[in-house]
Amino acid sequence: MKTDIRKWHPNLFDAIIILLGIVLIAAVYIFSRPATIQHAATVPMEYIVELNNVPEGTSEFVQVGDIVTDAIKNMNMGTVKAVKAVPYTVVSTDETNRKVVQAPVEGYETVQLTIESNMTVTNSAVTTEGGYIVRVGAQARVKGPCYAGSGFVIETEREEDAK
Amino acid sequence: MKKRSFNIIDLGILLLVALLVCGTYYKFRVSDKTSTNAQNSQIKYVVTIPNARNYTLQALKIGDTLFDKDSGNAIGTISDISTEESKSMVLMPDGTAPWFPVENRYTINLTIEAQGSISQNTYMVNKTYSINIGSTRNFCTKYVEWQSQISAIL
Repeated sequence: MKTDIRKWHPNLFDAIIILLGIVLIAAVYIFSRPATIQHAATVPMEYIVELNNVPEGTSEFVQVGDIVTDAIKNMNMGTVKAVKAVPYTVVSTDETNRKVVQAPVEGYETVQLTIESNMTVTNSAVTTEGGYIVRVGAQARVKGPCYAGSGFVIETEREEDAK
Repeated sequence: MKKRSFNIIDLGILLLVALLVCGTYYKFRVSDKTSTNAQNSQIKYVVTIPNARNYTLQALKIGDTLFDKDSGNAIGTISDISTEESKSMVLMPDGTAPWFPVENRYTINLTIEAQGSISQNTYMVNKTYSINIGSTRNFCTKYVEWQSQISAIL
């Protein structure tokens, strides 16, 4: 009995297909690999967050050393270094003097928390160890051990000014 | 030995390879050259932040890179910062609507310089970011973020 075993002889087109396959695999590898992660050194930096419209006396519950977190994403925002209470104000029209003023609201205060964290500084952002991006004007929803509130980041150190 | 004949599959593969070569040539030679030339224009535009608080003003510095907060792309550098009195329109009981100055608030004008392309009255930064007067955008620098309008192209 004669068995018909056909031997494979690669030709030009087989070579092209193999080459195309290699190029495709290389392209997939190059474009799908994760970007090189740069482990930047962390810098201890301070920033200030205000919690608006909280009941008067809330600031007395804040302790230096409290660890505060982002109430939405549960990211570590850092450690409280200082606390200060200022009047909570709303925009009001003074028709007599023809100007818009900031009127204090009785029974409520704004709590300003100075928070310290080791920050990762890149070209475009300053991020706490917990992943919270610190930018002045960014809305902050802060949760402490027995208090919470929302407001804005109102001050941050610049990298060149950090200790 | 059986002679191999040229068939439709072979033709398809040859066409595919030819297309790939042409595509690669166009991507890295032709289109690149065009965009490099187009990126050479200097674009100056103004971003106005109304009713800003002092902390926003203090966090802005000349020389800071401005980013589009949504895409994260750099869209220029702050070359000038000026402020003016913030004003708010007030509806009065007598039916008038005058503008009153606002205490502790500023209108901040940022002049931004960027490299981009200008063609047919279209201003583009980084090929994809169009500069449109009156459009409200999310901006940020490394230290501050806000939402405001592009108010002028200089």
